[in-house]
Amino acid sequence: MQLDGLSNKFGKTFDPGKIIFCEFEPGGDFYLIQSGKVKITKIVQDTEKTMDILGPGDIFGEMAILEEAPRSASATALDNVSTLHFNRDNFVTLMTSQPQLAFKLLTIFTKRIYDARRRLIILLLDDIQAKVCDVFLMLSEKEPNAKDLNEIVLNITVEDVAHWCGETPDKVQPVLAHWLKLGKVELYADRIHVFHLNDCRRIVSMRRKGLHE
Amino acid sequence: MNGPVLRTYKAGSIIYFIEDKGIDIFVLQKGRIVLISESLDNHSEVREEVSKGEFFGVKSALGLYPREETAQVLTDSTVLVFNPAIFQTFCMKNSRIVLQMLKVFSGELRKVHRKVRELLGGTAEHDNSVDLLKTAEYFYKKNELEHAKYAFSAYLDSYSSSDLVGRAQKMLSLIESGHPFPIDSQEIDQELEAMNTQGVEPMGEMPPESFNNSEFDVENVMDMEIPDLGEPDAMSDMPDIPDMDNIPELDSISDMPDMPGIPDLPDIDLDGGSNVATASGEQTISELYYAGLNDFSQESWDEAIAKYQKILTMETVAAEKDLSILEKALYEKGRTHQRKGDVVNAFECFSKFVKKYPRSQTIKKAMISIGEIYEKKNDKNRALGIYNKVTQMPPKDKESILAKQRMERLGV
Repeated sequence: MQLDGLSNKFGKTFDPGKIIFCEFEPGGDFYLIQSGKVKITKIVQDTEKTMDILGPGDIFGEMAILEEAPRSASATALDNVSTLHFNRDNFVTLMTSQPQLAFKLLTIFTKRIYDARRRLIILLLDDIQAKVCDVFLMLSEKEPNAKDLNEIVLNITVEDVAHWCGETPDKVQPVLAHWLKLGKVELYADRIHVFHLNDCRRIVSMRRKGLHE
Repeated sequence: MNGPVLRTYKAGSIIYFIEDKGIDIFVLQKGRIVLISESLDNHSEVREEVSKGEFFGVKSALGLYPREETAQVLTDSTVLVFNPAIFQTFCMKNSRIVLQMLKVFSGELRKVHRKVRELLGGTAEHDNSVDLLKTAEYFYKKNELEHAKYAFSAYLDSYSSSDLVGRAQKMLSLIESGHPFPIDSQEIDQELEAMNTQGVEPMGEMPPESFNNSEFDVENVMDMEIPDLGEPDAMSDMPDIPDMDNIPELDSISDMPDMPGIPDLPDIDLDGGSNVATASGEQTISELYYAGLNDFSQESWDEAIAKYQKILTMETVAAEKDLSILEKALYEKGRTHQRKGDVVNAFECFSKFVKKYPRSQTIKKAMISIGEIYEKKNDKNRALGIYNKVTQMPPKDKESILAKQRMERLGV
């Protein structure tokens, strides 16, 4: 992207290891990386998890433009990072002068909307088993051959599943413990092996139909 | 092909069905088209007529996911059809239109997020100020001091009228004066609860000058917050630390297999293993261990400790494959006592651990915990001794660095 002309006006640099923003901090800026790498992390159950490593051309923190909500993750410079940073005030100026960036943001928003709607669909289920099943299905849908899959290893913890279900881990744990005994899943500290995605599809579908009644 | 294609549809025809995959983007030029979808919350049908000049099919085309609605033609219609490349070219020349789409999408995203938040209700809604403070303390505990300073400062900037301002100021002062995280400081939730239920004066109401570095006595504050230790000399009742000679020597440690980074949550096989008294419906050792970790994550210290204790009493009946869980349970029990603020029992667990499992992957962590307890006991020499031991144990990992930093703070 040819954005050099904007550097003087919107440029911001970060030294290696420097935190750019912190999870739960209120924020109104978003950033476009010009050079360097940025690590996006979240603290989950007393462990800092890396959610993504971003590089030149990537945008982060853009949710601040949309939501009043605070940062959903922390961002840290991995090396010398050069960014353009924007906020509500200069957003329109940027978008009209840099249509390629506006288009990129448009694409990001479409994905965000899809992910948020998919999450909503899980939350609308009124049964914990169906919710857990739908979490497995949602995560498996990211695979290219998702529809044909019947078995998958997901790099998630029980806490992650609970997060997606909008439940506490102690509600989700008995469901998984039951399936563990039935051989439907294997639980590890850092991953869950799901053996019968077709069963999950059936359970979710039945529960959704139930909602029509 | 340099531009969009003009296409005509007869009344009653379908341009695309819900769940179809498609990459085309459409603009209605003439006629009437309705988008039919299912509402997310009550599964009723939602019909929305497309206005003339309006784009449709944009999100699923750009996001590469299935169509979220069926596009049905009500009267004979003409539409412009863009493939993705042509649409992108169009956007480059029409940033104003892209900006309008961004506004529409952002409105939609807000709406979905609002619904998500409504559904999460009490289960996931947190006080963001408290979460920010917890994040800051997490960084402090992990010795990521620059991150911690940033997060405490962000807290103080954003939530200057919060009840916990005093705590944040205190922690920031501690960092700046080079002190390690006070391991037995009261948990944030406990402090909040105390403020709410017992009328304890919140630290946030203390005058700011109380936190002036020159007057701030960290040891006094730490002592104030130590639960159930009574007189300062109570610590002298602690069992003695195992002799340094009992801690594995460097030579024997170097014989150990390569120690990977010590995971916070050990990789355990929960499938099978010792199944103690399942006839009575009791949990297996691995299930108990997992449940203990779960309790820990919920900060239910006593429940977690009870589960680890139960595992430790199963030593004689444990299957071979569960022996590693016994080891982990002892460490976790110590960690839980420490988090609870019960340094005496924490010390006992870690001491046992070091004696019993000198080759454990978690040995350095246990030793650092012992060092922290020595620091608490104001036994600087022993703390230094054990930190020094950790720095000399291969491989050089984050625990080695942490131990070195602790030594530096103690003036070495």
